[in-house]
Amino acid sequence: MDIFSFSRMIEYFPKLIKCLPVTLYIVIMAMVFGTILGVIIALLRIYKIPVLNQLSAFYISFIRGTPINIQLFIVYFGVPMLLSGIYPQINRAEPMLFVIITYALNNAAFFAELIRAAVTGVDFGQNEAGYSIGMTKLQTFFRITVPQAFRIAIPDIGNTMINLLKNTALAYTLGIIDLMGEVVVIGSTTRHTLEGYINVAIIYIILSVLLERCFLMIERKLNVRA
Amino acid sequence: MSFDFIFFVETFKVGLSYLPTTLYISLLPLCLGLVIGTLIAVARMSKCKPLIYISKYFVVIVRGIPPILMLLLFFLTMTKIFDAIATGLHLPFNSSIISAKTVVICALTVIASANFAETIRTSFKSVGHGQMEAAYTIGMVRGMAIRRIIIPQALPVAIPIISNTFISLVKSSSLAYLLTVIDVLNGCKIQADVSYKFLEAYVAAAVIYYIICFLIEQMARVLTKKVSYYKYKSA
Amino acid sequence: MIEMINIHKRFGKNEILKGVNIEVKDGEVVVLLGPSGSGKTTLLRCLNFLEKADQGEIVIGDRRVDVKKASKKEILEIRRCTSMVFQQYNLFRHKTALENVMEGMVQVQKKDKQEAREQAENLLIQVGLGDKINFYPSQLSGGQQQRVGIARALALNPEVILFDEPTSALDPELIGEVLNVMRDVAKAGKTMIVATHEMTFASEIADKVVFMYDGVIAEEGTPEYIFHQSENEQLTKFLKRLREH
Repeated sequence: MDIFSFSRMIEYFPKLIKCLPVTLYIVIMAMVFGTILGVIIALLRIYKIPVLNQLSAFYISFIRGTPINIQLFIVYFGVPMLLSGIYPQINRAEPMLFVIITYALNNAAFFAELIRAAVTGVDFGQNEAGYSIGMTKLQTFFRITVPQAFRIAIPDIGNTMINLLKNTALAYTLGIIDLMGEVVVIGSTTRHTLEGYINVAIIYIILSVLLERCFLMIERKLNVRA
Repeated sequence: MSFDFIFFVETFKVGLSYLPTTLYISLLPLCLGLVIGTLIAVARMSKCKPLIYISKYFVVIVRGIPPILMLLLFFLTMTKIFDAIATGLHLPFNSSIISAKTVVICALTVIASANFAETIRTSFKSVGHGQMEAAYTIGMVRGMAIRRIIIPQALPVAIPIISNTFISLVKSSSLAYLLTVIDVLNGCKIQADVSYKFLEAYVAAAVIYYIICFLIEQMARVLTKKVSYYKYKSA
Repeated sequence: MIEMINIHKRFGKNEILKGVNIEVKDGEVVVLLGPSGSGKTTLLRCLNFLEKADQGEIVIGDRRVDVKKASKKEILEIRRCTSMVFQQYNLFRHKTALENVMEGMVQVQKKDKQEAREQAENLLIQVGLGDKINFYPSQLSGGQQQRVGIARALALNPEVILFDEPTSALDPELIGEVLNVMRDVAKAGKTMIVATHEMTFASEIADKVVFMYDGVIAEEGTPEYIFHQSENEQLTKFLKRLREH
């Protein structure tokens, strides 16, 4: 039986690469909103705001302890239910909204944790040095702690982004036509999916390697300055 | 529309009854992955150039592929390849002996192997070359040095990473529903197919996965503390 | 007697040892002197086979090994009659002081555990750590760790103990305690080869001082000769810089 053909693989490649922007769009949106929310959660944790600190801790562990494919469906079914009172027009026909919400919420948890680890990882002597030259608490935080924390966090940020990228492969289960979704579309007319999946695998591998290289470069640059 | 709590509890119970399946399709890859991952790490740390390259690229490639994609690739090719080999060698059986569970286990094993290869390499490296040299100077041979000196010190680094990989495996195993395996997630979903109470079903499944992952993490924490007995924490 | 004959060692393009000959009689204390990069550490590591020399012969007692042809068994044999004390101590971090000292006796020499324990305890008392036998390395100061390191080396009763700059990683106030222990070891008649910058120690304890420069032995002799009489240009320059510190 004819399950794999190299010519089909080449034929499908342009179709798939056209869907790459959809995948990247999800990654970027999740990064932007996830980082903002992550910073807020991290601050609640670092400054140990009562109640909110515990809630954040639970939120983080819940996100980390449950499969992202389940999170996708919980958001898909749960958000409309939550908003049915205030905003009943919300429509399940627009799955992209739910996808972005899920990945942003998911990413926020991972980001909050790595920000917290990085900030608490900066030697307290650095703060004291800041105060000793007359900086205010805020100045010390932004001029001394944040740059150093950033350097500590870089490898983790890289890993989190690569995981986020790989996780986006699940968005098609809500009907998004991204890289994976396009393979399903091709498969529904041609009955051939293997070539498409191999193409997608290659694209994901290349993106992961590129991201990894990128972060290694940033890491090296920052370490030279240190 | 509101959250049907009674249905949630019912589904939770049903989901829990499929816990053995979920554990089976994540624990087996964990164990197999540890064995294969160790072999890959040994290949990577060997002096044989081709082995180093093969193990290095295996890890890069596998870690670049999303788990769902790995699962689908195995699903599409495994039975075909198996049949080709079986007929080629005139074996008395064909791919019908490969169940969906087996496909999931194989795919997850490959993912686990690549992760563990990296884990083992980094945790060995973390021990430092001086320890190996000290073992040599008191007259130990390589094998004894690794067993008595390196491994005990690599464990405190390795265990938390192994636990994280295990948690990832448990979570990835929930993708098995796409291949019709009835595990915790699928067990819960099937309940909702009749009642259309999908949210409750998914939340029930999520809670079960959360409890499993929480327990794994706690166990790893206790274990890490145990193997870190020699690390002195100044008050 | 210990002999290293025509030892060569290179790392890539760098030739670190360019034909070194050295002879150490039983019970002798030899101090290796020389600027960093002169090959002292590499020479010690070659004798212990932590590095395999490219060429040369190593003789310890009646064992004679051509490094080029050294078999695994021969390497192990040489290792088992030499012992190394490291600059960074390299104590086994997951073992207590006592277990560190016992490890070689029990695992390598297959001594009875009880006997090994008694010996290890005595050794730790000798190096002044009788009250710290159940401490882990992370609970000990650098000087204490290094003293355990010396006890660990002594425990195997090797023909020679190699000291690779044993005090250079220590805070100044901790150097004395380690040198004192080394003095005791020397007085007990142990054969020692010591790479160090401690001149007072060298002139007081050494039977012979060997000055290495650029991969060869540039000068050797009694401490008196090396520190006061030799007119070797590199040596006088090196000593001048050392004294300025």
